[in-house]
Amino acid sequence: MNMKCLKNLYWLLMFSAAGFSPAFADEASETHSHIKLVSEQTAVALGSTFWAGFDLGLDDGWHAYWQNPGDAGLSPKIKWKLPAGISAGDIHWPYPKLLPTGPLVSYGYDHEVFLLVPVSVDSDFQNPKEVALEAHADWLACKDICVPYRADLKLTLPVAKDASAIKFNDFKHAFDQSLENIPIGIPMISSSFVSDGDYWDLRIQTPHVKSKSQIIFYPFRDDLIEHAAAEELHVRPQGYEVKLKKSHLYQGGDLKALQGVAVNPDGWLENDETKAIIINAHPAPMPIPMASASTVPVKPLHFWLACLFALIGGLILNLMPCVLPMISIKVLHLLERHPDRRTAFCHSLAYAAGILISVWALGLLLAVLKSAGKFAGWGFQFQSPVFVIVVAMVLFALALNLFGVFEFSTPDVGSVPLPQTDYLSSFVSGIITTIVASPCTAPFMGTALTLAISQTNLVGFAIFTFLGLGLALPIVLLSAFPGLLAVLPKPGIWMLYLKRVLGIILLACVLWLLWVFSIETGMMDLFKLSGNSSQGIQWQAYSSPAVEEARRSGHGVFLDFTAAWCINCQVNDRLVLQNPGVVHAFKDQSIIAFKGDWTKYDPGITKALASFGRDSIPVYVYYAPSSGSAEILPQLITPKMILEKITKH
Amino acid sequence: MLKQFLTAVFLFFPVIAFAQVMSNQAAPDFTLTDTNGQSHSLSDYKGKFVVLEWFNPDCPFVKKHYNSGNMPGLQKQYTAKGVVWLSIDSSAPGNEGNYPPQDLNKFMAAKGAAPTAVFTDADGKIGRLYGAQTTPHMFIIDPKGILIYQGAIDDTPSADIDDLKTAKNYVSAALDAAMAGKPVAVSATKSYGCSVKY
Repeated sequence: MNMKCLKNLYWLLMFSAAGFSPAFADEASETHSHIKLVSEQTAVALGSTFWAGFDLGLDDGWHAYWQNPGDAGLSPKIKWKLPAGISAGDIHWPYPKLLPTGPLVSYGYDHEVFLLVPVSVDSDFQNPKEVALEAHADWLACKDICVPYRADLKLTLPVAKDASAIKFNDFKHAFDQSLENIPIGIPMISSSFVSDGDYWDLRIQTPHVKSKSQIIFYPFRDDLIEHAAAEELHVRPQGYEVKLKKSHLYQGGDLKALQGVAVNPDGWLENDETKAIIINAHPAPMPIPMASASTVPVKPLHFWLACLFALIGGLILNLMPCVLPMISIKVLHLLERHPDRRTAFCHSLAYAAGILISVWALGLLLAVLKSAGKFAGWGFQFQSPVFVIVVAMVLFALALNLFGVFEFSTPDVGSVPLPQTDYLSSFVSGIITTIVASPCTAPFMGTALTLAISQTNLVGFAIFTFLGLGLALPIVLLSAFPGLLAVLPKPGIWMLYLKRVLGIILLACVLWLLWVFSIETGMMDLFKLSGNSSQGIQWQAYSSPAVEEARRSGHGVFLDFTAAWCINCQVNDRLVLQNPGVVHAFKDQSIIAFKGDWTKYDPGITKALASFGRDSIPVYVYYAPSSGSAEILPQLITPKMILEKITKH
Repeated sequence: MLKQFLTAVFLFFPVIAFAQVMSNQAAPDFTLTDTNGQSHSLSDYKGKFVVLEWFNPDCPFVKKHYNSGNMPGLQKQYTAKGVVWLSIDSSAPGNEGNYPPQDLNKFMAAKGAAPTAVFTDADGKIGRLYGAQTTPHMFIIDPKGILIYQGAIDDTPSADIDDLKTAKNYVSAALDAAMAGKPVAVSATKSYGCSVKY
């Protein structure tokens, strides 16, 4: 072969090699996904649990995957390297979206997602200066190709000297958003399922049915349903029915529980927050657990029952510590002045009108706040220190008036017949009665209120009306039937003594309000965690990651949602939760106790209350050891009830 | 440009439904032309064990099994025992993993792989027939034509080669059991990998 031939052959070979040697795609030369380990806090306290977050960013068109990636893909995995005394929980996954590619459907995220992990620091952690977290992250990001990424991450946070040294940084907003998107369990929403041929029929029962909502169910297991099959949705009066095509891979026989996340883009509660809930459906038929009377009843059947409850609740409110003096004063007026029946009755109507107007105003305010997306509950106005101090001043003036220190233009002294035109004072006393009644909730009231606030305006209006009527009823009855007054002794010196006693009670109320005011304005640092008396129950401040960790520990967990201005809560606290028998039992059973203090507005606690379907405090919740479900106790608790709950297994 | 081409492809080809095949039932028959121009049908191999392996040379999960020698090792081990090993690439034209047949042969040669035959299934017909979702995705058919296993190649979904040290291989477990006349313990698992690029 001559040189030219060889040369040609050489070039031919080179050319063919180049032409046929496929350039198989290497690892992408640009990075399309990044991850950072961050915290929303600038420092951490020893003996606390805080959120750490993996900030996973993706270029446009790229996706990362959920805990169940669906038909294809891989979830991010974290391997922690932590010093002794620090422990990290599982990833709390925000709810995913559907990622369809051709005939396949995966579950995951785009753009940016924060994967939050609760991290606990022991109180005796050996490094007093800082906490160093290390983690190795593996994750898959795909567009039309897939690239596996890995990163070694580190986060160092200083140890805070005290709670006041902990500030929040720019990540707080993103963390709050992610917490909003993490599915929660809502006890008032229950679910069950039925195996129906090729389908699982998932039923979700909820009092907030939104007919236009497109519900999507994401299972935790990847071998349960055909991810690419459309989920057929039926909207029913009691809730939703979702038909899920069974996976051809499912070989587990009878399914014990259908678990996953259900997403309603319009929100599961009456506003549009809380878009994702945890579903733990058991095979039907399963009786919906009839909890205490505080479970929210279904709308059409129980409307009149709710009105009745509101009426009874309003009646009982008259007996509450701050209301009773007001009622007693009114009764004294009636006795003193012997007005004719007609005048007395008209005054009582003015009083009732004052009550009704205030009750409607409160209800309206609650509804407006709800629709603005800000959760509020009964008694919320007491979260404002300004309001507290104003009410304290009013009550103080009333007390002074009773002591005879000074008089208003309102007819308080003497047996002068009431001028007919002075209905204004009766009207005002009705308003004051409602305001001082609002921090209290009576039995039956809780259920009625929750229904009132959650249903349509007309229903809410009706229920609040009945509440006001109940509150006004005793005075109205006494005025209409003066014969009832005859059971009381004739006017005499005893009335003066009674006025002094009532004045003292009102002064006690003023002092209590001043205490509330001091807490709300931080003047008295009464709520230090370390300030637990050694004899009582050791309370920790409520935070959802801390509660998660506690539940994982296998112990019973008790939650107490309370506020300084909530009289019922304070009474329960003194009589029940500081009862030696109860304290002892808590220690014996190693119950972990959390206090959610709602004295000041706290969105985390408001959200927690909403997740239990409650709008008013107190709320007591018990998680039995190693149980998946919350048991909500009634608002009126007794030591016996608590002991029964925590000692039975 | 690619999108238009793809649209044209789909307009001209009948829309094929994405099926599922149930384990322990008859595996659907098919005919495909391999990368050397020879035609094969599943029914040709009645009386032998057949492994269908969906692959994509560019997928990191497939690379994990090929670069480590894991997949080639399995192919050599079982073809030596008379198993028919068919490797199928269902990537559509213009998508990742779609290559002319000769390039797929080069890939297999470069990795020391030894499948019985390699196929391009560019219209995705066979992939959809079997419901292949990922690469890799494994299907094992026994000599009577029954599907005895479908799903992941092993129990550790990851793109990390180190995981092969501890991963339990479902394919060898199923083949070893079936060849010894024992029942296959695990006949269906959820496969892992990149999505098949239909």
